Amino acid sequence: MSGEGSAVPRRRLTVVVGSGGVGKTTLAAALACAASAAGDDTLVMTFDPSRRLRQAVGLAPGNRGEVEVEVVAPRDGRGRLVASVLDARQTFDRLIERYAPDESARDRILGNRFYRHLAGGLAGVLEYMAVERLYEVAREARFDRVFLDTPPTQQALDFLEAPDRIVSFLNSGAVKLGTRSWFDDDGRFRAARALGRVGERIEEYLDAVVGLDLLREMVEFFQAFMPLYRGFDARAREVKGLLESEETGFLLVTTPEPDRQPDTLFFGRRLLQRGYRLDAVIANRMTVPPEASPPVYGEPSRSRRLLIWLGQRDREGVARLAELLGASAPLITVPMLDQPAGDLDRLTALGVDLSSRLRR
Amino acid sequence: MRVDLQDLSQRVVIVSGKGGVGKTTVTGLLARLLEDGGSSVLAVEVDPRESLHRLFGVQPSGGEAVTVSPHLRLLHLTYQQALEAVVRAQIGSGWLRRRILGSSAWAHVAAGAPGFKELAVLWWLYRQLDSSQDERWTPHTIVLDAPAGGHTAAWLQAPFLVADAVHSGPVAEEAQRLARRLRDGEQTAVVLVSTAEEMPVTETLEMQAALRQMLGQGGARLCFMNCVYAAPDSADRDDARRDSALAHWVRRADDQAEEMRRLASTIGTPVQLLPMLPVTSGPALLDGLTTHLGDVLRPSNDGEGDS
Repeated sequence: MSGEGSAVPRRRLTVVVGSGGVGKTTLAAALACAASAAGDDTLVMTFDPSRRLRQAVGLAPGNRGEVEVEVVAPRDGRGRLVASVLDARQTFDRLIERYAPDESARDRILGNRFYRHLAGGLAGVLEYMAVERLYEVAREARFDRVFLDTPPTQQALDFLEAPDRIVSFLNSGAVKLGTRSWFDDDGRFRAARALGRVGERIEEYLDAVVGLDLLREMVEFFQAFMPLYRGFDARAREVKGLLESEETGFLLVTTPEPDRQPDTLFFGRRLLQRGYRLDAVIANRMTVPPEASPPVYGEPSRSRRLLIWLGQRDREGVARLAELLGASAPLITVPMLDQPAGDLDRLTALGVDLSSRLRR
Repeated sequence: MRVDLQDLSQRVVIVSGKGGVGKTTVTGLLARLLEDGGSSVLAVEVDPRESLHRLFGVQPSGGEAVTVSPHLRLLHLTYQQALEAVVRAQIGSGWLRRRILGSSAWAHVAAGAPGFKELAVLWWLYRQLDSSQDERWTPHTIVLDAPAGGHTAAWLQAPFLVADAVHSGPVAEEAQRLARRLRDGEQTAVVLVSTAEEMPVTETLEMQAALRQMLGQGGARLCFMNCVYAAPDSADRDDARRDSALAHWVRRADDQAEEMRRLASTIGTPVQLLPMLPVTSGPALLDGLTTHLGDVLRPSNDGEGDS
């Protein structure tokens, strides 16, 4: 199999990225199992583990909020293995608690309707919270190695750009608008009053487009958010620095399907352009074609025909992907056969194999 | 439960599901079948990769509707287009409109304000049906390939979320109006797409539960199960003893059957299986599936549809 070329250095932080449904979570968990088996204290952070993976690492089903579970206790040269499920809202709340200058400022934000209902969907917030959490964990230095399974994003770009987007959103007019006192005590639009008749028209227009009520809620949110801004902004920059540092490596997971190739190449390029370290591209779930020759009599069955076709499609897909990637990153294939059905031993075996090939 | 295309006589059909399960394929397939049934259809995608265009084998359009056949058009609708259409409809003054659309605050609100761009797209869809935008051609049905981003229910939830968070003003009114139209089974149908694997099935069931709450009634109207393997026959099971690849295949086919049972027993809507075909995507895949489904889904007059 492939994977030749320069060895991938052993990073403290590994971020596993890729579009939804390619097996990021399983591979992140497998690599974490292998790291712990090799003696490192390891944390794997995930967003949305499947039922089987939950079972494999012993996470209780249906847990709400963030949980940390010790999957393997350190013994006989094995490192500790801890799995955690991220909760973006909790991380956001915690950030606000940390950076709020006083209790009343904190309560103003946490109680704001705009924050409660809508801020979770603000550009890149979920993704940002994942990196934010990675940063917290990295600073705590409780673990030798950390694997972050990124949230499922269709284009998988949001995650990467989250720190930038948050900074730029905070720097944008939208927030600056929030720092002024736009409304007087009667809830009237201040500028409108000062401007007389023209102002009334502006107020009318604003009301027509967005609605003054909503504007008031948003402005309130940003006003309450303002004292936190400096801390938040600096923090987002540090997070970005961590992602760009040598401590952090990215693994881009994809499948051999030709349909996914444009996305994979695009995403890989974006990673490199941002100065991130793309340690490898992993083509996961490669179909293994049948070995035995088909029965001598009659036509091959539909299953066999489909399996042969898929095997060929995947082989060609991987060859083409390797060609397109060139020297930009090693390509490693993981056959469909290796997919662990949800027990720790098989997860570890997959991880050990994968990390040995990464190091080759 | 059998599937009947007459279940989809609504004017807006929203195809939804987890990323990578084949929403675009199902969008194309429904558009094709509805067109064959005599409707004029506009198929809309929001994703900038324009994979719906690729499925029909037509060049990317960059925002203009593309005519595939006399009664079928494709459109890549950008969020920006939809948001600008909203502003245009709300503000008469060209000067103010340009000021708003050109401001950096607008760019950020447009990109970042939660739920707004989704609202704008839904608003745009229904508007096409309310007032003819093109006098020579008005679609009877619009099929939307809904983006997957984040949790699948989040996208359709936008009007409900916004209506919940904002209580007065035009945004609130628009959100409430859209929420009503989404809930109206005569106007809107949601179609779910899944594959027969654990995570997609789990998410589809979660999505259906969320839809039942949001939309009332039965939630989604139809569910497509995509990429279903051919059931292994006895010869395959025999071969599986000698060949690990085939053994694995048989195991996966059995897992799929199990996941299909799990979905069908709880989802409470008709489930239509789509076979995995040995063709790469594009027009060949669309033709293959259309042929396969032609007989299953063609409108029938036996009155089983709940129109």
